[in-house]
Amino acid sequence: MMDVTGATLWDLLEYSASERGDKPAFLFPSQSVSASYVELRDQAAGAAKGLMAAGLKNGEHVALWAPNRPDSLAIEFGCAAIGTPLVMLNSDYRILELEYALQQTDVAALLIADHNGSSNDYVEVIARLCPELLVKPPGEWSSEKFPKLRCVVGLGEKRLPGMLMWSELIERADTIGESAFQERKQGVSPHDTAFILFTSGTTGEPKGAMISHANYLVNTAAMARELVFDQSDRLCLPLPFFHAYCLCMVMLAVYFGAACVVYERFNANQILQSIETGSTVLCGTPTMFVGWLEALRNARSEGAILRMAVTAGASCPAEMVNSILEKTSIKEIWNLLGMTETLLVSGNRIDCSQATEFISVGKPLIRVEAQIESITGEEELPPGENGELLVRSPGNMLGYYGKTEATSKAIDARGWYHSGDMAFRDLKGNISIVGRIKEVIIRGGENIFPREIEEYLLTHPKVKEAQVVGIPSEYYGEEPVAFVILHQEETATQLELKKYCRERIALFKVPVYIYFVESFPKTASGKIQKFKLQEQAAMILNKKKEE
Amino acid sequence: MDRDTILKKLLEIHQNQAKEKKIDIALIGCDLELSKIGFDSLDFAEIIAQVEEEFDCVIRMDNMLKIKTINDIADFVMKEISSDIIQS
Repeated sequence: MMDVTGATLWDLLEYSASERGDKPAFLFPSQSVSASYVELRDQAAGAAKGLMAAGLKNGEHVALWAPNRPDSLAIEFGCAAIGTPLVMLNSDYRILELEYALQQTDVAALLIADHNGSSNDYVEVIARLCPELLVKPPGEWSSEKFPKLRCVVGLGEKRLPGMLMWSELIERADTIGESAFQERKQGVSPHDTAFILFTSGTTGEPKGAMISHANYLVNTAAMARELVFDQSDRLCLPLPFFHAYCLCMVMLAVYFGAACVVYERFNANQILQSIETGSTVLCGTPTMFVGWLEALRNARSEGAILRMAVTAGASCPAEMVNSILEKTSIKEIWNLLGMTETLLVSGNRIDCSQATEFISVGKPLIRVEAQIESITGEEELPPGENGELLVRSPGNMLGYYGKTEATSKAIDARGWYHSGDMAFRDLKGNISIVGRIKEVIIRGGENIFPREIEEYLLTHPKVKEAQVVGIPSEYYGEEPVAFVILHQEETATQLELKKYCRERIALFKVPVYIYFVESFPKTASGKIQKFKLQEQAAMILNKKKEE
Repeated sequence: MDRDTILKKLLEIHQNQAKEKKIDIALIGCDLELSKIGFDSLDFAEIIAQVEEEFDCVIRMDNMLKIKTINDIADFVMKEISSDIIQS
């Protein structure tokens, strides 16, 4: 295996291309596209040179706003080669979130697909945020909203006068000589930022976590000591590339020379297609596995060669694990713990039925330290006691881009990342997550910070106050609901406010129910009691179920 | 609103979504299992948004787990609409 010391992500791809040249690196079944490691390296080199030809300098940020695509991996490794940190934008973002993310990260070049589904037209959104693109050709406009942005590249077919197209950029790659490319690659340090991934963090507003080449590579090598693939493995990856979990799995696959079977997004029927392409490992969130269970049962009788499941992103129910082991061909499940700010922390290999309520996420990986601290932060707790999980690891992010204060709140002076997760350790050192200290709703693996939705609801002229809480969901684990107080004499409907949300924020954040109330339950000191709102929502839902 | 009108509208919503995905709209029938159409998670999210806006009701993915066909959605919408009328 490759020695990752002092290496960059490009070195990892180069290594795999030289050692496993003709082996498939990825397959994209829905478009019948695939590439070997040598082909992926060449595509990534083309992307890198194209971006160099467009004038992108070392350290300048490139953002990718697209559902998973066959060229996603080439763009990721291409950016890594030339030291242009890649800002991975959530493909479900709508105008408000895109504007915020671009302003936060000083993006110089934005690569965009045509659209995401039928109601999220990316080109129309960027035209609204950056109207300069409508009137001037590439290179001759500057954006009022995003002063550093100077290049918008279309990955699909739609274009605005100020945009370049990806095919044009790739054509320009020929203007960059091999020596210039080599020189550029040598200027990239393992400790440079490779990716900026958005996270709600522990304090709310979305922040761009800077992850270095070394963060990814050292973390990958540590995980590889536990979770082992071989070159014949094919990892079914219906996860979005903007998630740290997905990128961890990609790096692990490249490290072992396995192939990634990539999908645009989750679909319950992927399993059948994935089996046809020879997938042996299924990666997903617990919500995805719930959706796949029926197809997995059928696949077993059809001789599926799926041997392993990997899950992360939310707590893993024992019932789901037991169903997979009993009713499918999968005989090994890995329950991983990872966070955007720390990458992978630990993993638990499960090969028999589980009777405990909380399925452990295992022991920390090599060189990863984890401790459980009292909520007051005064002492380290002994096994069996619940407290906040702290992580110190070579995978810990460099920091939040442009947010020094938030970084020092998240990672203390001793280098511990404060996860905001409530956890305990057993006597053997296995970690179990039992809840959260930070206020966040996890909907099918997507973190939703209630304050972000509350603040958005407050921009509606009729809304005076808003509170968002999570309710249990069989499918997603949790879903957001909102409680709203309207301004005096105003009236509004649930549908009206839901439509208002859908127009500008990602669909996964839109509250499933909006309840209109006249006041919120408060403590004597005036603090809103969210747990009472949660109880109220649960009561309404139970009543509805009974009807 | 009667069931036939609801069903007609639901068919239209699903057919439009199928067109977007370049799926043969002739496949879309009231008794076809939705999971067989090839819609992904985003398609379902968009269909739910359209159904909610058309009929002014809420459909959760938890409900969709039990719903197999467009006919089932029509039953669900009928139930939701009638319970709203009773409550108001």
